[in-house]
Amino acid sequence: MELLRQNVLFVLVFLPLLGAAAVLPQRTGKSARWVALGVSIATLLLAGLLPLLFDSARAGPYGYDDVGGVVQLVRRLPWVPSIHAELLLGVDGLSLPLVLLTTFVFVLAIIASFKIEKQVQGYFALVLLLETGVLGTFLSLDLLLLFVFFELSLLPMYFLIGIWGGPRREYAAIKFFVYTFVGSIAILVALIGIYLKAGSFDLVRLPALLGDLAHTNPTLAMTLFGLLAFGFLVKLPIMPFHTWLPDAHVEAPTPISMILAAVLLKLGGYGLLRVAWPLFPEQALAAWPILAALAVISILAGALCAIGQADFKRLVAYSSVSHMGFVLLGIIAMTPASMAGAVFMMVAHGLTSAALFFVVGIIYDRVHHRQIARMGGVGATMPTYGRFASLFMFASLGLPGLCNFIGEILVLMGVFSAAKTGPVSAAVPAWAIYTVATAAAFGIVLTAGYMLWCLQRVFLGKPKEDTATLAPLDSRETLVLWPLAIAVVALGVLPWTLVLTLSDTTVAALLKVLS
Amino acid sequence: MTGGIVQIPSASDWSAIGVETTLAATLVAVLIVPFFARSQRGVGLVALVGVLAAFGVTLLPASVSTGHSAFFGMLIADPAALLWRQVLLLFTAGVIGIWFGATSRAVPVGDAPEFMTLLISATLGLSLMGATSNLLLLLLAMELASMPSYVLAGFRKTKRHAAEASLKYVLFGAVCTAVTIYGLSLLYGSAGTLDLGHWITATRGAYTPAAIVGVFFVLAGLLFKISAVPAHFWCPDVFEGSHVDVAAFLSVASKGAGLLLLARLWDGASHFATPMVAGMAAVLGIVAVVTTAVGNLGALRQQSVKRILAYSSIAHAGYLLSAMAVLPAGRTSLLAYLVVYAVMNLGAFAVLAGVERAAGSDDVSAFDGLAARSPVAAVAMAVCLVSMVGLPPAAGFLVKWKIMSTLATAGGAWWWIVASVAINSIISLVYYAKILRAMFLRPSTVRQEPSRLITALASVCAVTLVLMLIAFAPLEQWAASAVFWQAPVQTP
Repeated sequence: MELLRQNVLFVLVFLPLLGAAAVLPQRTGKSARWVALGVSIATLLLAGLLPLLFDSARAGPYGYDDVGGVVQLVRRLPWVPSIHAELLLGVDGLSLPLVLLTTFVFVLAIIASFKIEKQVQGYFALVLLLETGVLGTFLSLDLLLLFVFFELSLLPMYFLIGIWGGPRREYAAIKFFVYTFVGSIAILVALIGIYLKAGSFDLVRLPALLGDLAHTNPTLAMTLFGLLAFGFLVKLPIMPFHTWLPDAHVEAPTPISMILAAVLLKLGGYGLLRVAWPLFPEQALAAWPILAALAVISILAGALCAIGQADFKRLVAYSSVSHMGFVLLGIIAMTPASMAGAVFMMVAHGLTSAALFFVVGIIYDRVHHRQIARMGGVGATMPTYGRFASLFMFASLGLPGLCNFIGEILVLMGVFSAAKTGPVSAAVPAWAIYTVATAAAFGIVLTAGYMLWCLQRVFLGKPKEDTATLAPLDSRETLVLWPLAIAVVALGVLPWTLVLTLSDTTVAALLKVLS
Repeated sequence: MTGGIVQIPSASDWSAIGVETTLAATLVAVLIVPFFARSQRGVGLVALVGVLAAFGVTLLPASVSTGHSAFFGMLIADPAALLWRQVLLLFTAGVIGIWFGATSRAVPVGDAPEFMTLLISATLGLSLMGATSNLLLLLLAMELASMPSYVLAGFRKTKRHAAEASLKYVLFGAVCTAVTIYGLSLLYGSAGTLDLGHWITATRGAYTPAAIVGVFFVLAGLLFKISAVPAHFWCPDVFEGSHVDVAAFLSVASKGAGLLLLARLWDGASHFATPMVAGMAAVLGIVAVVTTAVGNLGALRQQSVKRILAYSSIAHAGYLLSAMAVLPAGRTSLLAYLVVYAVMNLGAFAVLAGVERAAGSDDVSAFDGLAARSPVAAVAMAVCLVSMVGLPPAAGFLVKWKIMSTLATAGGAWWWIVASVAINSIISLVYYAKILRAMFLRPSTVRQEPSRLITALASVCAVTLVLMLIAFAPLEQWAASAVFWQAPVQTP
């Protein structure tokens, strides 16, 4: 048991990498697919062990086992001793839900990838390499190591979009690469400053080590926070740094879009929660007006852009921008409800966006275009598909009983309560908070607007020429849709049991650090 | 320096030139072998064995020294010189590997002995450059390295480009050497000693005007070797005109020797906190920033991969000089970066050689679809390029990080260089990505693939780069232990 507790995270992170090495020498594409699927399922099962090993009831401080902290299953190995960088992995309530989401979505994305015929071995090896990068980012507690994994997720994505993407794949891939890389370099420079001031990369100990910086050198602290926030906001993405996202999504193959939306965007949100906020809480408060404005702009402008899209996939992509605005809003409000809401929203959006991109992929495979105007009545020609799609669209627009509702309501309640309690109430006037919250709430109305309008144009009405006869869902597609549907409903009905109970103590501990 | 009029070199003197002796023996062997065997590859093999034997010599206990002077103060045996020799010899062996895998088939029959003779004598000179601070030997070593390089640059005898490259290289080199010699004479005049190390220690960082002029003239000669601004103009033309293996050799061996020599001299001076030393550091810092920018911006518009890698090597000279500017603190970063730079350049040039041989062109479009033709070579090339950008999962990331953090530790105005390195990394991504895009995203236009030897060589480099990221500590320790030794000042 002790052996398992010590090594489970390392095995979890590097299992997909070993899988990638096993996929490459496969002689046929068929065997490569099954090896990749087997490895991803094994990773999911291993991640499934974590909630059993993780003591979510432990209401300790934001620290390691030695102080009875919430960060658990910690394992450190030496890496670069001269700068005190370690191979340091650990899990807490922030990373655990995202790790579960990641392993779950990767299995489904790999099933969804079974139709890929081009350079199959390379494709699945890159997908598994990507999984290692993402899991490593979520589980690293050493800032330098986190950065290495964060970057590691960048290159596979570039190739996955650039090789297996649509007609404008090269443009989309390089745009994705350059945008994220500029953000990464900002993070890298911040990393140097943090190390020079704190002499450590230990993310859990850094808040204490950097404690005085806000008073001794406020300019430097603000610069470092700005660099970190910029780097992660590009990844999230938040307007106006979002323009890589629609292009990347439109050109990426369906399974890669699922991974991109469900998992990679969460790296940005997670980075804010794990790095930027705990290290520089006072700077985060000082930057509140800008960040709140960016969040609200993303929510509203993202939704408005979504309304205007003629391309089904672009519409879903812009809905991601809008939903990520809620995540940012939840993080900046810094109340228990809003933070829990942000974590929940990331998981919920992970499920609904993966589902919606798969829904888009299904219709694209049949009609070979994504123009909403040329679709119609799909609900009549493909009834089962129509039902699934409606479920996911309702989930995405925040229908009570489905997952996104819980996230949005928690974030909004948290923002409203931020006017009364918490660190933000002391720094920001109440009317400003109410304005932000009201504007964000209006975003939900817009979301309902574009989702329902899209639902109506694609699935209701009379079938048009393109959608008059369509092949019904095959078993592979059903196999991807069912788990997503179950998860979307389950999270809406049992939010506490499934996610919030895991994150609860950590959010409380983190808030102590923030205030 | 005691003893009779006739001084006899001692055993420790001979151990200090074990590498050079082995290389000299190899030279003779390379010239004799063709009398018995007409095989091109046999000559290459002899050269390879000789270089590897020389590397073996560096591993002998007798070669390890915490620091002593040999041959009456002409040579220095210290950990830094040893590290440089090890890097240089392994790299030269790699260059011979590239020759085997690609170029050897292009050279007219009978040229292998000449090629190997020139390559090994250049290596001999470069090896000496890393192990001396004596004015005379320094100049001899630089010339012993330069002369064969000029010929190597023009080795594609039938190509007009090669003649142009060689001529440019000679003219530029001649001017720089002349300036260097003038500078050395000024230094000798103001110091009265041939040993620059002694002179640096004795002056304690305060120089006469003549000496300052001398320092800058010597610096000009070294910047030529390093291919740093303003002495970088030869680099792209020479790379384009010469064989890929020669370009690879110049990009690392020549540059590295110049850097090591500069580091040895500057390391002695940088300990003193005087305005002149601070000014020198500032000059090096400015040269570093300009060199990085010129290299990266110049590379953006190139279509030939040889020229891209030439400009990239200028940019890397800039990164290395950034670490140089903050000696003595920057020594570990500088040497670690040099080691990683040697590995990633060897891998990239190896693949380039293979592709050029197969496609008959060194254009970016020659790389089209390499991933489909030879996935292993393409992935290895990708790892090397990613390492050059300074991204994980390759060691280039950590060494670049180390340079940046060393500069940041120095604080103050050095932060501007940190910013310069960061911004330049973003710029460099654009042109490296051009090659990545060609390899992975474009359909293949030619049938041939790089030879197995090239693929194997590049893979070894790629794997080494990844391993050095995971196990960075040994590399760092190696670099940290490679200190420059200063002979104690003799009082007459």
